Amino acid sequence: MARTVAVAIIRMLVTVFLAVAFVFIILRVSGDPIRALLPLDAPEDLIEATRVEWGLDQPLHVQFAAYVGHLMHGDFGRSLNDSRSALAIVLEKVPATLLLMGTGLVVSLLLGTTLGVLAASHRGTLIDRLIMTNAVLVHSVPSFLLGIVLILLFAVGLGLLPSGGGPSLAHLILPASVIGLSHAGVVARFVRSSTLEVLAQPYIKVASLKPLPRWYMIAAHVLPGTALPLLTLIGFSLGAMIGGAAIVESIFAWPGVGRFLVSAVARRDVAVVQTIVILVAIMMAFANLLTDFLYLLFDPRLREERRSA
Amino acid sequence: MSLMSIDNLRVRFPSAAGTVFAVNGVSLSIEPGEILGIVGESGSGKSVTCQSLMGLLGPRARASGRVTYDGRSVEIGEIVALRRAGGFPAAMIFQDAVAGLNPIRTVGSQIAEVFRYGRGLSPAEAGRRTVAGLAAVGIRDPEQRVKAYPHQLSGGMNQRVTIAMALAAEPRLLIADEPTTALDVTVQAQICALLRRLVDETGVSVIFISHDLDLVTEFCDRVAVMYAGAVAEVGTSRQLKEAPRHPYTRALFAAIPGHRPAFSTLEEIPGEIAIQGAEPTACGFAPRCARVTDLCRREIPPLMAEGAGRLACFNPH
Ligand SMILES: Nc1ncnc2c1ncn2[C@@H]1O[C@H](COP(=O)(O)OP(=O)(O)OP(=O)(O)O)[C@@H](O)[C@H]1O
Ligand SMILES: [Mg+2]
Repeated sequence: MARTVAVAIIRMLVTVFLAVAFVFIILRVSGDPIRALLPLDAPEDLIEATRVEWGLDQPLHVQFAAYVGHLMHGDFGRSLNDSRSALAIVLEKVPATLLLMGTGLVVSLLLGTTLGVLAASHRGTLIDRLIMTNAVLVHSVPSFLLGIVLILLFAVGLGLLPSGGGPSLAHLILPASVIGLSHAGVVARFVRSSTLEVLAQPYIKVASLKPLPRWYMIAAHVLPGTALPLLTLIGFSLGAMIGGAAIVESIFAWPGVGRFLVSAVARRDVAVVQTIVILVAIMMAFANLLTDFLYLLFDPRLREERRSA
Repeated sequence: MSLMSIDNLRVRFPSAAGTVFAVNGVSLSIEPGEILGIVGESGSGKSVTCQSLMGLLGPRARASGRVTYDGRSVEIGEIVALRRAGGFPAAMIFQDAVAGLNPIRTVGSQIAEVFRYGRGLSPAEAGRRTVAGLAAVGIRDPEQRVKAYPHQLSGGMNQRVTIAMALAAEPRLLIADEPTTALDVTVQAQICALLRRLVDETGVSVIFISHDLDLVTEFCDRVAVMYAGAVAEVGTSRQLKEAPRHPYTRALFAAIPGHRPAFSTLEEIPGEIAIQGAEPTACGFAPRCARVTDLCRREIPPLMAEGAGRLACFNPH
């Protein structure tokens, strides 16, 4: 167990380092942060002075070494925008993003699992085809389009919900629906195929002969078999979801990390972008570790293998 | 009165490649507290006959026939509804016991759920009955074993678990499709002894499918011999062993050198196993039968009462 954790941590550190280096180079090569920061008509000597003040006059590798050195001491740098600690600003936005993504994830799991099981248990019928067609549809519609459609419908047209802002429950509904819907499609397709696989198992045939209520059959025998592959899917799609959050947050002006990331990239605010990248990498590594543990929790055979290894 | 009888069961599997006529007019009956063996070579329709009783045929099968249980008669297509409504308390166990158990649930929980959700008992009561159920099928240390997962138990143990699981619903009919085929001989004998004891103690009836003719005649009260989707002969074990009337039954016993192993040596009956690609119009065994007559090739021999048993042959021994 200790080894698993150690390996996970090393893997995470390597990932974080690579991501940090990559983002650093891309942001520095693709544009000048000072020009993005200062007004267009700023005098040359002010630009030069600011550049020296932020250490941007040094060669790239020196800047990078200095940055990594600071990181080692837990110093994430300061935002170019308002000179506040990058970590503090980013952490302020984390709860809103977690709320949005968590709600979206729950919506997609509830919706996707229900529809997937429904489609599988009505395999080949109209219900099955209807669910699957719609699953492909919501998944292939880009989330910005889905977002705009929902805004036009519920905010502009019906005037039921706010089109953007927050964070509050009313503001949460539309963006969470966009995230939930577009992922529900993937989840539904995935759950359908793994449910069909489980339904073909001999133990399902045997269990179906027992006098058990239908809901119990599904909850106790079918769903646990589909939970493991679903965990893997969630682990994989977390990255896509975080990327999607940036878009959705921007459309709905949701005050989270994603929207902040977009504006920070535009400003070439390296410290902020890097802080977000590091947080995301840590979160992903943590999610991977969690997936591993949940696997062990679900499958007694794996548990034993692990113990004897 | 019989506990259950099947009357003129027919099952076919239509497909693009052609229809398989798996069961062609099987009639059988079983008494309370009786162990009825079914033997016959591979493909003779033993499993399909039993699967149709449990509603396990799958969506492509076409089945007809009537089942009478406890004086009530239904079409085969209604048997599942009758069982769900509690009017046909039957359970089934299979050859591969491990595959029949959910690998990620403890064996105890898979038995307890029958008490808990099938029969509405409290969790504590369900737990107690589960331990008692495991003890009843001869599992030592049942308090410990309830926590085991299927892969932690031997094949014989798992088969005992599935028997306990089947009995948890208190069936009056237990169908066992080759429950001992995958087990070694000693364990096989133990499982048979267990089934016999359970029959004596609870009065449950057992249909026991096997390839092992010796085992069946030793262990079962009566035996039905099937060939090409039809019943060739039914009789007490003793009758069949000592005075088989049907040429196929006789060939089966003759094919056992020193009476073991059984069906693996079936090649010794001359001719090929019939592939039932068409609706039969004659005795299925006619092409391989040494006593075949013209009539055998023209008509299907009906299954007639014959002494204490039943026989479907125009020219028996
Ligand atoms: N689901 C199915 N679809 C098509 N054909 C089937 C199906 N199930 C069984 N059959 C066919 O029905 C016939 C009878 O099969 P069955 O399984 O009853 O034989 P069996 O007597 O149990 O044989 P064995 O001793 O090998 O278990 C076989 O020809 C088999 O191929
Ligand atoms: Mg069979």
